Amino acid sequence: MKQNPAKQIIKLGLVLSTYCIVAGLALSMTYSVTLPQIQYQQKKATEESMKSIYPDATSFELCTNEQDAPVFHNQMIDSCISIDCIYKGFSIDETFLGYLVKGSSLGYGGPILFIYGLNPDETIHSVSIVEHSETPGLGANVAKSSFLDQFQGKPIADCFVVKQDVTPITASTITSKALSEGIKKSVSFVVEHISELNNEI
Amino acid sequence: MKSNFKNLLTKGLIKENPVFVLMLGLCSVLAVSVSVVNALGMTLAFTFVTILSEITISILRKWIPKSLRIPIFIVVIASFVTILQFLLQAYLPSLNKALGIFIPLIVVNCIIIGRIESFASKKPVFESILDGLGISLGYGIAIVCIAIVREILGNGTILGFPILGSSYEPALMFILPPGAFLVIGIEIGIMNHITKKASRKGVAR
Repeated sequence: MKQNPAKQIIKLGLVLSTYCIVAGLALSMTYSVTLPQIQYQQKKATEESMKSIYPDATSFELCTNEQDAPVFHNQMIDSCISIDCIYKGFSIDETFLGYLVKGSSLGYGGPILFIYGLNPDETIHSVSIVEHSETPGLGANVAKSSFLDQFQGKPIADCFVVKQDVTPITASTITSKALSEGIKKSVSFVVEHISELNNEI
Repeated sequence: MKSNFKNLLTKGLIKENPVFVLMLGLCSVLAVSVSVVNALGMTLAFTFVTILSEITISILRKWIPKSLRIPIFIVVIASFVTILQFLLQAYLPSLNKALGIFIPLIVVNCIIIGRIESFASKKPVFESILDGLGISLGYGIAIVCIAIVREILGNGTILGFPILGSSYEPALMFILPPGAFLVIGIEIGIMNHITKKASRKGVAR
């Protein structure tokens, strides 16, 4: 009953590949069925987070360059802070409300993904946290309005330094610092390169 | 035969509870039991993968060469986990966000591969479904029991509703990792105490 070992290996290989091919087919089918829904959910989540900042806005437009690519997409500002993308918010009568900057900053437990509105008069409109993995009960308070409200209407010329003009979350200085610095540095970058955002096509 | 089926369904609850007695899959239990909602979501995800994998392996058990069984088990489990992840992203994005990395980690949950190796790869489909259901229920009960204690003590809420009043200062430790170890240890202790008492009574009779 002993089989030739080479034959045995080929046989086992064929069996395993059959299983993998079937599994792969099943996965690609599920993927193609769920993909539109997944994209819709992601779009909805982004739009909701933008709506939470400019409730009056009815349309959002991604800032793109001549090649139709998003401006400052995954733009690193330093080793901890980056900009994901920038949108413009418009109200129902097409008036420009402000820029929406989506970015991330390295906190205590990982990147803190935030989004904030930048008014044309160079103040912060408001900030909201999209995703974070800070310590529950301590750093996680970063997503609470009790902390975020202090950025509302804050002039971007302020220094955004914890314990000076930013009241930190109790016992979570690293988290508070990460967000304040994230906002300050990304906002300075955006203001410096603001001409590139208004590339009318 | 009927009592055999019932036994399959109930043995996972107490006698062979995967978490409290077999001490398997503790990583996800400790991490996800921060809130009752997360615990329930994790239980659903776990049940989905366990039952579908057990059914698949049980149907295919005659076409699985012995030397290839572990890779094939992993392929099947990993496929169902990935399918689950697509479905969650598409239809329950908030749950997907809450459970995060612990969805993909179901692949390496030793409870599932253990049940497949010791049960589904040898038994017919119907019994495998019952086994999967029983084990998932046992897992769910364990993780929810831990989550209830942790959420009440650590956050003063249950399912997000405040129950201890605003004067209660939450003991943060319970929603941090040390609290998970404390609660699981105490609950295992209570469970051992009860089962020992019960078995002593059984002997006395």
